[in-house]
Amino acid sequence: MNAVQRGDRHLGRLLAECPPGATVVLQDIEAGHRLRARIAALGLVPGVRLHVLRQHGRGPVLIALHGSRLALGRGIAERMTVRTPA
Amino acid sequence: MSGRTWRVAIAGNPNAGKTTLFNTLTGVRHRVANYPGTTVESREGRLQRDGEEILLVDLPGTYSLSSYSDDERVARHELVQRRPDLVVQVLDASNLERNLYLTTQLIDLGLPLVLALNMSDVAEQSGVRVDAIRLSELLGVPAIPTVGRRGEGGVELADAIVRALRAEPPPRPRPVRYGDDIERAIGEVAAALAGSEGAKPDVRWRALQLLEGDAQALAALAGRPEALGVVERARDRLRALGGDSPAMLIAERRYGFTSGVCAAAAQRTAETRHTWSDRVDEFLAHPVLGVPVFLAVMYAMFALTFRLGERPMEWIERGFGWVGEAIGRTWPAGRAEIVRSLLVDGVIAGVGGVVSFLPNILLLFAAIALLEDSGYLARAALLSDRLMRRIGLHGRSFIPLLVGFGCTVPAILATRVLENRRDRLTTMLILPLISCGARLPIYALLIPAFFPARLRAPMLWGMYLIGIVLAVLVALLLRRTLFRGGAEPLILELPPYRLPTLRGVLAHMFERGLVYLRKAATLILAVSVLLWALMTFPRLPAPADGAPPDPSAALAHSAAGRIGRAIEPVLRPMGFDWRIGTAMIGAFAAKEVFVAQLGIVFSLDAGDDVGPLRERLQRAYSPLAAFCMMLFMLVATPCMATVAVTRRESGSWGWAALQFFGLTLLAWLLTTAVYQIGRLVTGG
Repeated sequence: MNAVQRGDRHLGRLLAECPPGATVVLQDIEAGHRLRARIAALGLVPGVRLHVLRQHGRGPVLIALHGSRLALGRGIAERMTVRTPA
Repeated sequence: MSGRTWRVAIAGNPNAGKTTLFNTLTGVRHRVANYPGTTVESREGRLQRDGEEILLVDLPGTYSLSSYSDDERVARHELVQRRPDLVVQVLDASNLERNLYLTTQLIDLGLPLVLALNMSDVAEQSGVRVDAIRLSELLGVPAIPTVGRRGEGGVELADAIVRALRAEPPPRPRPVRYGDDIERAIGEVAAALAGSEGAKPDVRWRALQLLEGDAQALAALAGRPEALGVVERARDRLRALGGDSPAMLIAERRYGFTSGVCAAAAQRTAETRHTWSDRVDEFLAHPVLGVPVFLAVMYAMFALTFRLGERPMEWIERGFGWVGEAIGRTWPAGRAEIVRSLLVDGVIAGVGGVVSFLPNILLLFAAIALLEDSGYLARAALLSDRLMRRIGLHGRSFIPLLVGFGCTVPAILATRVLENRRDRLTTMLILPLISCGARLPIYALLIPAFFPARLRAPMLWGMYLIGIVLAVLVALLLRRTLFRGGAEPLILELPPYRLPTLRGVLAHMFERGLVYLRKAATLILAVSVLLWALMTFPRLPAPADGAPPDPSAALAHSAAGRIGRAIEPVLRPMGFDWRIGTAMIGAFAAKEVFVAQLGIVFSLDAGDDVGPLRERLQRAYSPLAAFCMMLFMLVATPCMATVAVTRRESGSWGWAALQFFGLTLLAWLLTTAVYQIGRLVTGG
């Protein structure tokens, strides 16, 4: 499934804008093939549910997904769109 | 009993406890080697069980088998090209879903597979119970619960390995199903591949790699336009059907599969795991609050390595000095003096030099193991990332660079904490610019001799600062030339905090110590003897009265002295004469030797009192020339131990040569500029 097929109503919210404590579903990652594959191997694929642990100024975004904790740089968090879980 | 040696590869995610389990299985019998042409290491060890002889290969920890990093390429090469008899995947039971992603790729490879469900204890504590039997049924492969930290499950795992190796036919995992669209594409590509070369067991894997658009897989098919055409058409169709890149569609399917397996085999008894770990991170991983702890931890690591290492280092040096003296005393006077000199000044001094690094290296790696095993290393990298990113380096580069202030040799070994080859080589190449402890005696000799008291402290700080600034500039330069490419975005896993085990720390520490001794020792020893020969031959004819020859005249007469004179025209623009050149040749052994060498060329007893030497230097050189000396010794010619470990750690002479000649050229240009401009300004 892709963003279009899912018919999302909350298009355009960036992971980098989610407040700490938010639980969101990853919708799309705007990145090259290489980077997307690298991110996918860590569990970050469209449709995955993640939890924002920290969001602080220009610093990295800390998220929890599955059983792991990931720190994502601003640059990449600004290229991830998310939606609120159904 | 089969009479052959089985090859078994151990795969798994970083932090899954792979290496601990490997050590449990092989005991101490393993060796570490660099993969040719990479900075990636492999461990190989033997396991004998039930009459079977098994060679275990510990692959680098990876999240997947794509070909994006050196680690992944090495793991993939072993699995795809060498095709081991069996793969053992170590899974972190508390993070099963993500770990199973790699499993799907291993299943596609079509190799016999055994799963080690590791850290089941941690998983249960954090509220996840994994049913190994259910998992085994779902995937069609044996799954053995283990607790690597306590060595539990090692025997059962070894038995499972032997059973799987002996089984006829070998246990093949149940294939992952990717849904009709992708399966059809796999079928088409597989048929195109099989058309010319016949069906191979890894054909499914190769078809998937091609559909994912993997660069290596596509390159391998370069000579077969008809097969490439099939791949392209299948990719286009998938993209049209799925509305996303085929690689993403495949990844989504893989996660669909893993979450299905998890739902069936893992039971979540509590909501989230490592909650206390998260609470600690509120503080330790906080961009502001975490900084004091970060600084304290870094200071503690530095102090542990160098303060605690100081004493053993002195003992070792004293011990070797004592052996040398003992030989000198008992040596029959006048007989084969040259052999005595070779033994005492060449070999024993060289071995002593090699061994004297050991305390620092052992302690440093104990500290790194503590940081790594506790999980703090990832937090330290997170905190220093923004700073290091500005110079194009990874947050973890902070550790080797800090260690560099103590000694460049362990610092280069510490670049091991970096996973990316570009980061590792950049850090390695700039490390000699960080002013190490051995430069201090040079500053301590020259600064008081040439500069008034009020300038001394700023001068000393200045030398350190110059080193740091140059390191940053060279790093930036390397990023714009040799190691080009956009900065990798920060994507860092923060493993849960764990209590390091003594066994793990000791294993790591001794492994590194042994690797250093085995890999660098012979090279350092050989260069020591070579340097000794340069400073000894050709010899002066013995004076007629039988008195020992004047050391200063002997050194001037030796090859080192002659080289010093020969290169004088090159040294002149920097304000140096042949005596400094000769001393610098000796200082290749170790930077601090420069002081003793200057003592010899100026015909002064190399005693502890440097007062007379300072007076001689004052008469011979200007303060400007003295500053140039310090500058040159800071930047130029890393010592031979640095060259030796750079060669070993980078895996090629090329990088060591680039470091050596590049820095020397930089030093020459810089020092010449400073001297010439300085002369114009001061009118000297």
